[in-house]
Amino acid sequence: MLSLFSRRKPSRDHSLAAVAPERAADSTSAGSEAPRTCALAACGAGARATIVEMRCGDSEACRLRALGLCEGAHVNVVETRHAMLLDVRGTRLALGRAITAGITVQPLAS
Amino acid sequence: MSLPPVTAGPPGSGPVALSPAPHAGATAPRAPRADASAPLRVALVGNPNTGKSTLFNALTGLRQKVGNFAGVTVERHEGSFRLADGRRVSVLDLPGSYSLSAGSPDEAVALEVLLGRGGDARRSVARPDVIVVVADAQHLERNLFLASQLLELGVPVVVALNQIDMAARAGITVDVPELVDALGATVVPTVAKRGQGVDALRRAIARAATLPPAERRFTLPAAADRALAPVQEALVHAGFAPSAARLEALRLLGVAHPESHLADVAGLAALVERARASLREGGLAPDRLEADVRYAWIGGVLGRCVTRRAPAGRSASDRIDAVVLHRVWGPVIFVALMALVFQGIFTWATPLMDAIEGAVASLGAGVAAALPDGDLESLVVDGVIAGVGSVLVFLPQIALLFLFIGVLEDSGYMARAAFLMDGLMRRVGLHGKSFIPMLSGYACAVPGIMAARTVENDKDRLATIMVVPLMSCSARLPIYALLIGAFVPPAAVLGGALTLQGVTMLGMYFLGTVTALAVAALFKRTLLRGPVRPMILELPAYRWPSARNLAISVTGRAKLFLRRAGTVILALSVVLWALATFPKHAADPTLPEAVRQEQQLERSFLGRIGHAMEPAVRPLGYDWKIGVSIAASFAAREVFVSTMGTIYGVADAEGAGSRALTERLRTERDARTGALAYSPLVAVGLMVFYVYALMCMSTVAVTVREAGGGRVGWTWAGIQFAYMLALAYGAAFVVYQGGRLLGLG
Repeated sequence: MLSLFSRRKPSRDHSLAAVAPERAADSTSAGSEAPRTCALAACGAGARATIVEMRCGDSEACRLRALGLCEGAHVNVVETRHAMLLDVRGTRLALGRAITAGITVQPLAS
Repeated sequence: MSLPPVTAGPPGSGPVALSPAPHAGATAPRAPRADASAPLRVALVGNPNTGKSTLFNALTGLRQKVGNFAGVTVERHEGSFRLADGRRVSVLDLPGSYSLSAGSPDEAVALEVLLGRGGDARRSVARPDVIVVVADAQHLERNLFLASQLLELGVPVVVALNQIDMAARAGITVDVPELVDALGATVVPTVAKRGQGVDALRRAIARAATLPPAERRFTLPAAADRALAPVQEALVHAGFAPSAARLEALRLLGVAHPESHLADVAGLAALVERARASLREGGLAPDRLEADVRYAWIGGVLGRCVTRRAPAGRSASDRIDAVVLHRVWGPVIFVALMALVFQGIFTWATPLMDAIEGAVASLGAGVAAALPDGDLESLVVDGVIAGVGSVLVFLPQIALLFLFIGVLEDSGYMARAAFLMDGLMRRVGLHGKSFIPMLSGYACAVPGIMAARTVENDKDRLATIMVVPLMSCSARLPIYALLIGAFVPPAAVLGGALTLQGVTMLGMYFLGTVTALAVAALFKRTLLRGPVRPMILELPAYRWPSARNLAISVTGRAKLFLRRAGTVILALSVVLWALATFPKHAADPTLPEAVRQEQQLERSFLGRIGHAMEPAVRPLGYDWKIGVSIAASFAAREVFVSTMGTIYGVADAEGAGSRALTERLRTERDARTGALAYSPLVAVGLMVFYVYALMCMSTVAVTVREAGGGRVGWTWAGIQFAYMLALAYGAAFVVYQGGRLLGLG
């Protein structure tokens, strides 16, 4: 990737998730060498995670990026119910399941 | 006046605007515009919830105009102020946007104005001379995304670093000189709510107009530059400034379809697709490239300019949310608040409405005394004053509703309400935000339809507008009260907790509400079919609403309502008056006044319409008199009661509880059959008719306007009127005929 963006690059190479989305969906396979990823929708309240990939409609993705939710951003899950409440770059967002199910994240140790 | 330390200027110097030193190689300061007397055009841009409207109010005071951008239902707020040298500055408050990519009609308008390119010929837009970006100092990381786009438009930019006091309280310190250097734009710290920094901002705007435009502050990877070059060329060829072309080329990578202002750029979609392919070949992800480069740059800027103390515990907003969004208490608080709003609109407006009604009546009486008896007097008093008065009466409800909505919106609660209601509204295919307009409809459909503006998606907003009038409004109350009082016995039900009368009343409200949800679902699956947009909602930090903001927004709405709806109402009132007055019937002058009125009405065009309608209303169990009352109440349903009063010759039938009229209705016999004209079945059918029928010209007028105006607006208003009339007729038919089959008639 671009050296220009080194600040935003997670410590482990997350481009793996882009080429192997099947693995991304499987959060239980605890392969110690590959980064564990899961859908944002699968995260519980209190979880912290880094966005790895966003698969949603173009207009939604465009809107989310402007709101600060994009690949490499850190999110804190505040609450989950019919929608998810989360903190991104200091902003509190409410996202529907249709959105959170399409976002792949890499959970961070809390 | 003291601002928190922002390391701007010497200590004690107050708010300071710092401008960048022109960097090497920059274009020379611009010569003043040839026409120095022309007002300076300023566009105010910013994310929602940054205090942008407050800053706009602080800059321009009451010198504001509220209108619509031509051809769209996006509100246009324009104001002006004068500089020290007497020069006028006109300020356009653009709709709040998170980015320059047009995800909503609001954002499309903002983009068109900033680029000076209308989406179609009707929208000629003048490019601003200076852009003022309102950035929330607390959420600078997200706010700088839009700012970084604006810096590339080729227009001088002033950044208003707003809510700097709240940022300081949250432990955030911004090094303003560093920020000026990083952005290459003037930065003015402001606290718009208290007017701090506003003078400095005015001076900064004047000075910025003479500075060179801002420029992109980061470089793209070489592969991206190469891939985007053909797109940029095409845009420059189509008349874009080179800097704006670079912005647009990068922005278009993440946009599914080029927006309407790009329609005349030949082959653009194909060029963008080719750029995407070539980026992918170079190992870059085109859809995330813009976000990557901008946030990377923003990260660097924040590292230089912002220091953050670790927050001490949970913020006040989080503590409020813990209660307000609580699984149990959240809905309870929501219902209680909505009940308060509903009750407030319903009852607190009453004294004011009575006062207006009284004033209109005494004005009518005064004019009637001053004018000689005759058609002119009748036209002015019964047509113009009574007709326009019937609209003025709604004003307190509208003002109160928008006051409540303003408080809910400015405080940050509205987003929480939308979040709480989203689950229910989603099931009928609407967004959570549609709930507030529907609730407002209980008071009056007019402010309810106006409140639908908070729904961003066009189809969802239209679906909301279409069903708001199904919510039983306060004008139906006199009709329900009259008919229930006359025909429903006050028998106790539920062990005496309620009466049958109360239950019937509740049933009418329930019927309207359930139907509104069902019809919304139907519209969303047919005429207004569209995907249920997934919820993406920012929950802004809670704030105290500003009284000044509320006052300005409430008076603005009130003026808008009076000006637009008032003109249509005036015209329709005169038409209705003419229908009821002509042709003249020479009645026997010895007859009592009430009888003469009845005869005049029966022989007028309106009376003839009633007779002509009789075959149509017979299947519902109505005679021509009810037909006339219905015809007369097409303009305003509450007229039904007063028309019944006129027809049955009951003087002073105003007020639902009029005992004389209820008595008269109970004993009235059908002129043709000799049977009792009304039965409880007819009364229930009639109430159901009024639950559904859209008999309110204020609502029609406001739907025309809010659904887009012109032919589009009239089409939707026509659809609304027709479907509600069909529903009313069908339901009343089913109730009456079904009841007779069951032997209830």
